[in-house]
Amino acid sequence: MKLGLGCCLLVTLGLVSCGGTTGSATLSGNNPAAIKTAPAGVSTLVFMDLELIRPDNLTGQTALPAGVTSILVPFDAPRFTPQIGSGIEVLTFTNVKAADGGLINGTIDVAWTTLAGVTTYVETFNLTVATGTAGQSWAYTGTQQVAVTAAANTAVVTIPTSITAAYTDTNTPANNKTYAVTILNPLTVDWSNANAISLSGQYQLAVAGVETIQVTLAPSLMWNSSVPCFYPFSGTLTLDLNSVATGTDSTTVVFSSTCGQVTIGGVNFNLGQ
Amino acid sequence: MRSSLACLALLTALPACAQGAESHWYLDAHWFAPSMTGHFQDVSGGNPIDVDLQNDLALGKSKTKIGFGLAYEGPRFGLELSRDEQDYAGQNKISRAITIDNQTYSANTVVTSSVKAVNNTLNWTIRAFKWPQFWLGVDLGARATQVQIDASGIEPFTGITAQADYKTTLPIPQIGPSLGFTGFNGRLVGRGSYHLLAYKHATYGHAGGDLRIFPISWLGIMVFADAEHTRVPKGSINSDLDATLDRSGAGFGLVARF
Repeated sequence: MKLGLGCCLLVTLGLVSCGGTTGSATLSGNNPAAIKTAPAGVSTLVFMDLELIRPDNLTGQTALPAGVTSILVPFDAPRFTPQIGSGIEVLTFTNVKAADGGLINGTIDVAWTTLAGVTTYVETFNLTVATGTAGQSWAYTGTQQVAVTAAANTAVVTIPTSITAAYTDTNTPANNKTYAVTILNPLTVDWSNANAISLSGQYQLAVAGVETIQVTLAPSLMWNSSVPCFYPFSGTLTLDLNSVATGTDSTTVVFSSTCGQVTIGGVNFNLGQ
Repeated sequence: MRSSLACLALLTALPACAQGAESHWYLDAHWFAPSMTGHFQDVSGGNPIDVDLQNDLALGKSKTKIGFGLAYEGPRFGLELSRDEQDYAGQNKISRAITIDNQTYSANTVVTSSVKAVNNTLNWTIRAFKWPQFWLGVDLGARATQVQIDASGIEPFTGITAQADYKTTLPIPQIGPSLGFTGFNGRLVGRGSYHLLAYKHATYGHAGGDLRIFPISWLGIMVFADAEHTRVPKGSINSDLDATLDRSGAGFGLVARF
């Protein structure tokens, strides 16, 4: 009997010692469509589209070599044909690849004036992006100013009022959203070192009464003009969400040296695809 | 401590007086699908968690596997081994941020979850007081409840699918009074028990009862009810762990006697 009691207590103690906790957590980027339409993706992709014309390339428009039809970095150049005018240039986009993998069509009117060594380019957007999914599109309208100090190889980008980025989903109109894009701290561009073109500052996307996403470029986004890639090869966007529905949240978008590859919240995502 | 050991010794000695009753083995297959509610919160441990099974995950019964039990009932002692397993599932748009194994899902995330609960019970019964058709005793045993939570949700801010799993085993000693009876020439066998455990402010209670009817001497049906509640307030077992787990329900099964 004593043996039985002892065995029972031993078993009990043995079971007690088996207690424990294990677990794991994983993130998966197996749904690019969800990433593209989520606020973090939207605020990254829209910005990439709006900064399609890198400021250091704007100055090149006065000295385009014969036969070169693009002032953009080497990216889908054959599809892009600027039309030179008097003091104003209308850049026509025909099926240029957008950051979300869709196709950009429309125009950006570029008018410029020079005063005391600073050339101010006023870019008026009238672009649409067909996302690649039937019925889903973006429309960018509004004005952005780029003040280039040619002697210093620097520029400051501002948005006087706001640029409207309107998302339309004809299949699910409830998903339609209109973002106002503003620049909180002027975007500064420096290409005094041609192989290290930097872009820093802070911008914001906001849907009135719904959500605001503030984006800080730090460390600066960096391009290397000798590398044929439209996207930065390093730099980080820090995104801070303030949503009426979900509260506050934060994540980062980190650019990598693999052209177009970023990590959003730690998950790989490819721009332009 | 000494008095507890003395009581235990007395209880183990008393059944020696019981003589003459029959011994039986019971083998059963049963179906038991209890409700399960509760919450786990421990954000400082190695597997941070903060989730309410009902309010956050909206868990409902999903699948119940057939459970098995083996029991010996003799004149002086009884032994019981049993196992049951249930699956629960839920999908809910959460209204607050929750954490499962350090993966935090922000409010408004649609979280799809499943919970698997497995119970293994070993119980030794000392029949301290015995009459021809009735006995009173004490249970000494242990019950290991294994809970595995799997969750998946798309983060509304990033659109990223986040998956998390959390597995914990709660081994709980089963100590408490039990009673039983036999009637109609062994055609009716009943048993009840209540196990209670308290440590600091943490409490555990487990009440159970079953009734076995044998239309033929070696084969019968069983119906039973079981209710279990665990309360672990913050600062009791652990300075940060705050948990509750309630399971209750009724079941039935087939039982063979030999």
